[in-house]
Amino acid sequence: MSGTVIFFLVLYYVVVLGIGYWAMRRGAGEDLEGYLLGGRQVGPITTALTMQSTAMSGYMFLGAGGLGFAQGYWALWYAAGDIGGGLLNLSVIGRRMRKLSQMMGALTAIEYLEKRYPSPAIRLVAGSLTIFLLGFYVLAQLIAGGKGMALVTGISYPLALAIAVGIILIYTFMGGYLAVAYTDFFQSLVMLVGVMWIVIAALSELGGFTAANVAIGELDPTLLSVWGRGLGFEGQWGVVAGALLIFSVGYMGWPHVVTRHMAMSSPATARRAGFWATIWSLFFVPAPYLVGIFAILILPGLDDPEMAIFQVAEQLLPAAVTGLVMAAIMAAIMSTADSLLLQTGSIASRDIYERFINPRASERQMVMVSRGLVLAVALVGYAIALVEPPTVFSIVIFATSVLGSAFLPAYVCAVWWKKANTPGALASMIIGASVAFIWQYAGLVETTQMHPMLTGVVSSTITMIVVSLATQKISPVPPHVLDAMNVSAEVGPIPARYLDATEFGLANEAAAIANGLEEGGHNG
Amino acid sequence: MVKEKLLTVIREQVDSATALQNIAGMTGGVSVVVERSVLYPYIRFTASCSVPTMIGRKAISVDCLVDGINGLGATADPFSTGQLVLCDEVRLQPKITTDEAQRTAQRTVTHQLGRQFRMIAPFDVKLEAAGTIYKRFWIIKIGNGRIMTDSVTGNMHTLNATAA
Repeated sequence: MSGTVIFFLVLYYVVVLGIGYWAMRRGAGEDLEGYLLGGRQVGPITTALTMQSTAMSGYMFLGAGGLGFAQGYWALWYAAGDIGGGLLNLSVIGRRMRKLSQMMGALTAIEYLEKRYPSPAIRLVAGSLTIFLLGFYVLAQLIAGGKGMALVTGISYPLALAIAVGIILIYTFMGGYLAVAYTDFFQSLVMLVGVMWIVIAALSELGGFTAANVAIGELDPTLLSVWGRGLGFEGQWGVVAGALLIFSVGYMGWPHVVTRHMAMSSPATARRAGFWATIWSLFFVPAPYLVGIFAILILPGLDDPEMAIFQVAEQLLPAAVTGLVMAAIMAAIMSTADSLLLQTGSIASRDIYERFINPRASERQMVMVSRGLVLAVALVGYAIALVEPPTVFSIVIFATSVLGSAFLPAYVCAVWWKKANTPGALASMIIGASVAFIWQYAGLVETTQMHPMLTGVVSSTITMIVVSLATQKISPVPPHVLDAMNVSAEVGPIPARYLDATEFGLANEAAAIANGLEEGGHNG
Repeated sequence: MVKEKLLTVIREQVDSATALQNIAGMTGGVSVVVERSVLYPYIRFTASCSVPTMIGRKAISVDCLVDGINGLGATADPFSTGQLVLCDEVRLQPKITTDEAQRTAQRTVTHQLGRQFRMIAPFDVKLEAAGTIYKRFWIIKIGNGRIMTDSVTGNMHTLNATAA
């Protein structure tokens, strides 16, 4: 790694820290408003790019490129689902979940499930599953961070991994300066420009798309097909369906993603942000897969396919650009790891410890529990990543398949199906997670040619429907939940143009005022 | 002799004429009329917190409002208040106790701090109760439906037809 790359890498972090410091000085003063409510001033483009920046994990920079390198154009099945996933998620459950969660007073995605499907068992199962699976997701970020750090700095992988884990823990325990939308916005722009730059440089190196495809075809024509290297997935529509589903509808079952709906400021912002997020994804999402495919020609002797993007960047880009792009990628990986760890810690302290073990826990005890779990996840992850690191792709696909299978019907039915009840949701989560897990680890993908995401989601959906219908009499959906669902879906006699101007945040006041007026109110 | 009731209210930014005008601008000829106004209760707390930063702990404060009827909390932008003598407004009565509101406020502020600063740290949140305050909502009849308008932000929300 050249001195120029290191210089621009350091420069990148100085700029990011500078933006964070400037934003804090500008917005905060001595009170909290600039921090807590600053997001209200942020427009849809910044909101969209901030969302995408934090959502793009090590998978995009290591797993996607590695898959493209290993399987050729077959990898684009995953990209196809991913491009529309964000918009689908916002459209199907975004608005209703935002309203319903506020009406029920839920602060976390797990607490929301318990309030919609009233039972401590829901919280216990959902919280435990989420902690377990997010732990795997964190592991993928640690490996990605370690590999990236080793390449960027030239130090050994074990040491680079230790540094990456250390930095992520400092992020999580100290935080502060990173929590500014403008730093994420800047990071997102650098990521997009950088990845596009790598694609263009690769195409330029290879003489354009047609020439690249011709060369790949000469090397191995099956890499140009939609069935993978050696036509290994030919006719396996069950696997293709899973690849499409995992990052499209799968998003709707990820607690760490749907929790964003609960923090949306307004429907108008959400809609416009969804549009910009889709535009961003359209350009960004296919790029890492394509770089991986082009790396087949540019780096034929590549040892670790998951390093395709880093290696292509290093080989083709000017040193200064390589430094900036790699820094942005590293920052994105660490920022995602930090977010995942925070959510894991929050679920452990609030949804498990406070709810089931110590309901009168003090703030300091909660912090201790959160930090303890985060430290344990980081240390276990470090050990696994050091001793026998799996590929980032395999970990992310495993964790997201099981998460999506477990929670997709629970979150979707929570806002769309009034008969979805507690036994249905509980059984759906357990069956969905179990089927996806077993499918993956019993080697059933090869024998059945079905993706674990597909079998998991189908089984959890069927379970939700059958169990909910069978238990309507013994476990009806409580009236207050039905009322909240009715309000969250309310259209009424008001023309659509007024609904466009409706402010989510007033849903509770609106319900209370409507009731108050019905009762005659209290004058004086 | 009727005893006057003095209430603390959040100072209005949007009067009834403006609220009506905003909605009339979207109606395209449908008649709109201000039917009444409703005073909605919130229990107010001032939270003092301490946030660890790279250059030491930083003392900050924030207002937290707890919905007096639904018991839900939210941090609030700075606002000013005034006194109001209750006339023909409909005033909704708070349904939650100060203790319940305090628990909600504590949880809300702590959660917001952790989410916003993306860190796991003790923030030493100390709350000071500042009593019940009210916010006015304009209830506007439009055709067969009703819309309420927030007198502070101008935001709107539909009211269901049977209730209004």
